[in-house]
Formats: sequence, C-alpha cells, structure tokens
Amino acid sequence: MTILTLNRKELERKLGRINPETEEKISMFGTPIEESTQETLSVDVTPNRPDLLSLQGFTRTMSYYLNGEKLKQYKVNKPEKDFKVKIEKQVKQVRPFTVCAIIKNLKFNDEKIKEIIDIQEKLHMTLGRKRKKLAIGIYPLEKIKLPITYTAKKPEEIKFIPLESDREMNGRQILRNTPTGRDYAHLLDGKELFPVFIDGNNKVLSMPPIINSNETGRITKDTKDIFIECSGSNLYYLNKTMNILVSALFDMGGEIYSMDIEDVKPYVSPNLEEDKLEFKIDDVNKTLGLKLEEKEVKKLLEKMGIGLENSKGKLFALVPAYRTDMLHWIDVAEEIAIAYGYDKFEAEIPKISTIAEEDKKSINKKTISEILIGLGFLECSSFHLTTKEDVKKACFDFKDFIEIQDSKTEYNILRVDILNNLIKILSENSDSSYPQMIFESGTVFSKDPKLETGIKETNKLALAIADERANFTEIKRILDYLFKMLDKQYTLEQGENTNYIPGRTGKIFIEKQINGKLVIEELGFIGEIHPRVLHNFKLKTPVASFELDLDKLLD
Amino acid sequence: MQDTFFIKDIEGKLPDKKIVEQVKESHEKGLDGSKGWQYEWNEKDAKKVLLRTHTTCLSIQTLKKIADAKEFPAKYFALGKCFRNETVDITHGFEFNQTEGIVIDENANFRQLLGYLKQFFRKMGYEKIRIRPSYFPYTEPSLEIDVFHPIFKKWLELGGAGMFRPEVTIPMFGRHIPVLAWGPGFDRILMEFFKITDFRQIYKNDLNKSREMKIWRK
Repeated sequence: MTILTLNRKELERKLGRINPETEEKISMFGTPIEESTQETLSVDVTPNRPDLLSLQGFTRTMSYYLNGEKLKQYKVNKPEKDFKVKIEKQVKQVRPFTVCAIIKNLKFNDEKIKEIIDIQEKLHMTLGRKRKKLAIGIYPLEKIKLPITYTAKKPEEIKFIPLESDREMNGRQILRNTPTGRDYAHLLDGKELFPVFIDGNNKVLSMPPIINSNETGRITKDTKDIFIECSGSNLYYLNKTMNILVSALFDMGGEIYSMDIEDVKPYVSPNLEEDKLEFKIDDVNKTLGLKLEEKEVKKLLEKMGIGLENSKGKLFALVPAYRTDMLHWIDVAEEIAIAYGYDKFEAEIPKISTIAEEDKKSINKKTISEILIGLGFLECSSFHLTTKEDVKKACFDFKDFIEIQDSKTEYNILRVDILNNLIKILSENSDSSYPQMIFESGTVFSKDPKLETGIKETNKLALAIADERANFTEIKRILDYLFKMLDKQYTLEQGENTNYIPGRTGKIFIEKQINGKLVIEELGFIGEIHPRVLHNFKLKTPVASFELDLDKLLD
Repeated sequence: MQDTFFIKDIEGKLPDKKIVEQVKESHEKGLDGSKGWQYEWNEKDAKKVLLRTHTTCLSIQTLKKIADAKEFPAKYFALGKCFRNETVDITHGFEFNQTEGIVIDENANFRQLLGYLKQFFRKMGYEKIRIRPSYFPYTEPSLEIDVFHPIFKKWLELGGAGMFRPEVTIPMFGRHIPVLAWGPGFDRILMEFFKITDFRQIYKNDLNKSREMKIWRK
C-alpha cells in the first residue's frame, strides 16, 4: 500500500468540492481515505494502480469516476529530427532496455518540479522495486544535444559531476561518495561495465540506476522541454512506467514526442495506444450475478476511464496505456463492478446444499480440551516461535533447531515441544495462586528432509501441574482419566528425558492394530520436572507434567 | 515479502512438474487469454520454506484436492495461525489468527460472496460493515471488509476477500471454476469480544485473567 497525499485545493480546483459524501465515494473506488484535513487529502493506493500515484493520475481517474468526464485522448507526436536513442551492444548484458520520450512546453515552477520528482520517486519504489527493476531519468532538453547513446563503460572511464555535488567523480567514486550512490550501489554489484547515457556532445547524462549529471540532468524553473528515459531489464514494465509518467506530464500541459530507439530490433517509444482486451458480457454477468446490457457496460467502463469497442459483435475494452492491472477479462469484470458500486449489489445466499462436517482432528482437539477443562485445567495458547535460550534451559543438548532468517524479535526458532512453553508460562505467573493446572495442544516442528517443506509438523498435547504436592502419582491420575475417557490404553516404561527427574520419568506407549498387525508406538513422556529446569526458569514449586503425540494417539 | 519469515537452510520441494509448468506459464505469459504478470517466475524462490503469511495456502491445497476428486459444489472453512516478521506492540504481533472460507461452485458469483460475508460478520456481531474494492494479486474482483468503530468514529479494516483469478483456478481445474474466498483476521474480533485492548494480552497466558475469562458466545 502506498499513501498518496494530495493538495486539497488543487484537487478541488479540478474535481469540484470534496465533501464527506465525495470522500465516501472515493473510498468506494478502492482508494480509502487515510486522512482528510483542510489542506490535504490522503488516500491509500493499492499496488495494482501505480498510475494513480500522482495528482494528475488521481484527478484524471476521479474526473471520470466522480464527474463522468469524457475520456481523454493522449496525443503522441512523431519524432523530430535527431529524436533518437541508440542502444549499444555493451549495455545489453548490464541493463538491456530503455524507453524514452521528449516532452515539450512544460511550465515549470518549484511546485511542479517537486511534483515530478515525487512521481518519479513513487514509481521507483513501486513498479521499480526500489530501482531494482527500473529507474527513470529526466533531463532539461536545452542542456543536452540529441541524439542520445545508451551504452556501458568501465566505471573508471565514466566521469561526471553527479547531482548535488561540486566535483567530478568516476563511476566507482560515485557509488562510494554520494548518498544515492551508497543507497543503490548493490544494484551494480559485480558488474564490470556500468550503464550510462551520453548525449550528442559526448557528455554523460547519467549513470542509471544511480544518479544524473549535475550539468545535464537537473531540471530548473527555466526548463521547458525535457528528455525522459526509463531503463531496466523488463521492456513491458519500462513501457508501462513511461506511459504513466508521460500521461501525467501530458495532463500537466506538456506535448508528448516519441523517439526512435535504435536497438537490435528498432522501435518507437512511447506508445500510448489503448490496449484492446476482449470480453463477453455473459462472462461478466455470470461472474458478478448481474444482468447488464451493452449500453450499461459502456457507461460503467467509461466511469473507470475505459472505452468500449464493438467490432463485428465482439466486445473490446479499450484499456489506457498507463494501466498495468488489466490482464484478463476478469479484470474488466472488476472494473464494471467498481463502477456499478460494491454497495449497490444485492447480496444473496445461494441455495446449494452441502453436508457439513467438522474436521476430525479439530473434533479430537476439542474433546480433549473439554475433558481437561472438566478436571480444572486452564487452556493456554502460546507462540509457535521461541528462543534457543528457553529451549536449552530444559533440553540442554538439543541442536536440531529450525531457525528463522532475520527475525525482528528475539523469537527466532520454531518450537520443538509444548512443555517448554508451559513451563515458561508457569514462571511468568508465579504471582498467581496455586495449584496452577494448565495445558496446551498445538503444532511442534522437527526437521524431515523427506517432506515437501523439509519440516514435519506434529500435533502435541502438553499438560503441567505446578503445586507443592505435584508429583508423579498425581499427574499419572490425569493421564489415566484422559485415556479412560478416550477409551484407549497405554503402557508405561521407565524413561529418560532432560526435562524430568531420572527415576520419576516414564515413557508412554500405545498399542495399535495397523493392517491386522499389533504395533507399539511411543507417544511421549510423563514425569516430575527436573529441579535444574525449575531453577533455570526461576520456579519455586514442583511441577509434574506429560506431553503426548496427538497424531499417534488419535489417528 | 519484507514481513515474511523465511526458514534458514531448508529448501522445499515443488509439486509435480505439470503444475509447476502451468503456474510458471500463468505468471509469466498468462493463460486463458490473460497477459500474465510478465516477469520471470523463479523456481528457487518458489522452493523457499516460510511461515505462512495468510491461510490462503490452505484454500489452494484444498482446491487441488477438490479438483482432483471433482467433488464440487463444496464449501470449506478453516481457522489458522499466520506469521509476519514484525515487532510486537499493542496492535500487532508476529503471530495472529486468520479464518478462511471458500465456496467452489460453477454458479458462484460476486453477489453470493457479498451474501456470505454479510452473514459471517453479522454472526460475529458486526451489523455495520462496509465492503469496498481492494486488491490482492490472486483474486478478482477483490474487496476489503471494514467495520465502523464507534469510538474512533472511523472505518477499520477487518479483512479481505474475493474470487480467485483464472490464473489460479485453471492450473487446478483445467478451466475457470468460480471460487469465492475470504480470509479476515480473527484476533480483532476476539479482542473486541473479550474487551482486550492490548494485542500482546492474547498470547500472554496471564492465569489470573484466564481464570476470570467469560466463555465465547456469539
């Protein structure tokens, strides 16, 4: 989500007064109001609509949607003499593509320069993925000589004064010594050649995606005509980005001129011709549950800035070139739904009958909870993430941790058992009255390279009693009762586990018939918690506990 | 992907080649007349193991089973934990609960989705909800459910919903079958019912408080 903050006065100058009712309509377009003050209006823009991320883009769209204005035609003039950009072979390995345009007759002032830089920055962050996918450069035409060459050179051979600097640097120095250079240096990591735009006088315009030249790449109040380029590795997104930018500049009053791009396969950019997307009204009606006619569809689409063409009975949505989100007829259906108004739809519950059934595992889990709650236990719910330190307080020699990358908190591994969390809960509740009887059932994690995710998830139940009189006999009584209620039998064997006191620990087993054969499976441990563990968790009362594998118990 | 928890040093496996190829194609070039997202789908990224950020993955797994068994119309729901790499504060944590519902039916449509959602939130105690357009990469149309907060006097987001895109359904079913899907977070509903004002309280397991807890009745 990107927050777009707009000058209210500018907005109202173009759209008319924006009262609370209009604000609600704007929210119902899919751009909810974040904040509304006397000076500004902030809206939330979803990532599928980078074309809205400017005053021009937003007001254009709203003028169709709110005021039903006629669809604008974006005129692109043919290239004039020398409106050429030559792409040289060397740059194909580094940053293979560029699309370019010239805009004439813009009237710049401080406000407008700020606006354009703002659009550029928003496009860098969104479609450009922080300049990784693409970067935009804007240059005053009066300072440069056409035609332009897009090439790549050794960084030591690229020499110019970068923006906001007063001395000449080479490519590597720029990465080290300028703030933008440092921020984006990683994008040129390991490249032998750096991309560069050069003008007809052999002067460097910029070194994308890093920085422009201070001499040839700085817009001022005197600038009228500009050269724009957008470079990167995906031609589709370069074109889309350029279309968004030049459409906004056109709305500012500029005249768009295309340029001849001399690549292996030459092309002309930008191309603002609408994209034709075929769709059937029946599909739209079936998806939305409506009964719209062609005439209504046309009106609704126009509210969304989209034209409709009927060509020999086939319908085409004429999608403006700045839209990035129209891939399939289903997208046309959504446009129609938004224009129709989500609040205008009549909600309905269909009469399909299906027989409901609760998942067996969750029934089992609920049954066990009910049995234990009946015995006076409190159900807990703790994090699936924990810390190595906590696990090691009990399982001293445990090593097989499943670690998480770059966790923003101290919780950086998946839990290996539930008991550990229960003991932690007891230690955090020492001010609460005793006896404390708690349980939790949930997922624990272990490595298993055979599985799809490499991680085995097991459902376990752990239970703990903290009390002066908590002991093996008492906890075994709980286990007996639980098994009796579930109509299951278990056997106990002496066992060893770092959580428990040796000699007061048992391994729990269950006997099962699998395919007519008797199988004995281990379910878990029961016992009195080791004083060392209690000490590590600063617990002063004895604790008795068991932990069971629910998947094995109840499959 | 900034708030995704990735697991260190473990690489997952991909399902059978046919599906992988179709997913790759639907992302890169699109299918059924779609343009796709026009980028390079990366197999290595797809193999990364992570903690789910939405329960939508459950819906996709369920869809695959339903498609293979050809057993629809069908309706499913789930409640599950989701994870985001965030710090913990009064409104956020790195774990939260989401509820997920899907309806698979040849005749499912957008009006029905609105019908299910209105019922669902009415049962959760929300009479005044607003359903507005939104965006999720895998649904179209997409929407967001807001509830009106009587004290803050503003709309708060409760969760998203939509109909799965053909790029999602076609690799499963071989053709586009409408699937209604919703996945609102659940913790805010819980917090309001139990009058919990601090998110951290949900996972604190304060036994004094647990002993005083009223039962969930809605």
